[in-house]
Amino acid sequence: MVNITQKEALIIKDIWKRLSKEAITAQALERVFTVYPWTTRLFGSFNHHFKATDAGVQGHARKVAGALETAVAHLDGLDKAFHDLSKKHQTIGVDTQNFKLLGQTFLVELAILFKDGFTPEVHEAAYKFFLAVAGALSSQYH
Amino acid sequence: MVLSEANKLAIQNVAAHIKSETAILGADALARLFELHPQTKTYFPSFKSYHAADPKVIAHGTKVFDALVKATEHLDDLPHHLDKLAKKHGHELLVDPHNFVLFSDIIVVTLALHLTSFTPATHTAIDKFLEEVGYQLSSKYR
Repeated sequence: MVNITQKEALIIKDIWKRLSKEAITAQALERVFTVYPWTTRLFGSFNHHFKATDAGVQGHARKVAGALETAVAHLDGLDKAFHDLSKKHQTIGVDTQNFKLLGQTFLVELAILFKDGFTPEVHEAAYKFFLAVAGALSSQYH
Repeated sequence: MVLSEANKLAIQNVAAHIKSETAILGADALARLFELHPQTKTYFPSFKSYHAADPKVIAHGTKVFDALVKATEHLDDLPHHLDKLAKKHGHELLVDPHNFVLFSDIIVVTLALHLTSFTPATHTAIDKFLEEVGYQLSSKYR
């Protein structure tokens, strides 16, 4: 169980506010598809087009960014907030490990964006956020 | 694990860039490991603190990153090159091998932060390299 402290919640909300949300999500997706190619498994419809600027990735980035927006607003009740989304991902057949991999590439994009501003404290808050989101998305798998 | 010629070039390029900064990068990476995964501190009970400015953190971080840079000069015979370190970790230090995975992800974020460029292609090469290093270091445990 990931325990996000009040201080970390503030850091998470602050970072999220400063992001070009869909753009950075698209970049994180391009990175996850490149670094961990098995994550492309269920994206055959993208026809091997996995760059951030490609239409498929942009479309998916919009959905993911929207879900993360919801997550940031519900840090105290993530499992509940993602109840249906979790079921949906199992129906689609997504390996839950993918959520952690996208979390990692998102951290890398944040590190590139904020540089020294991505202090160990901020890094930890962001890491816990994505871990909590991954957990919530996995919570209804059976 | 097969490193392509492009992978090797990317890895050696990163090594060239970090060669003179192993103390800064090593300390930063180690401090982040301790921050995000507090259980890793249990391997260093003699440390007074676990921040990047601590002399022991700097010393150990430097040691680790110097070893990583050295390993990039032996990409064609990593198992042989890392044999001694593998025995040290597997027979003497007994660090849980899962920590190599945790540390690899943190090293990736640290590099992304410090380097002027960390493209998905470079990221992939480094991720493969660190995975291989971790695999070799885990190979003499049982």
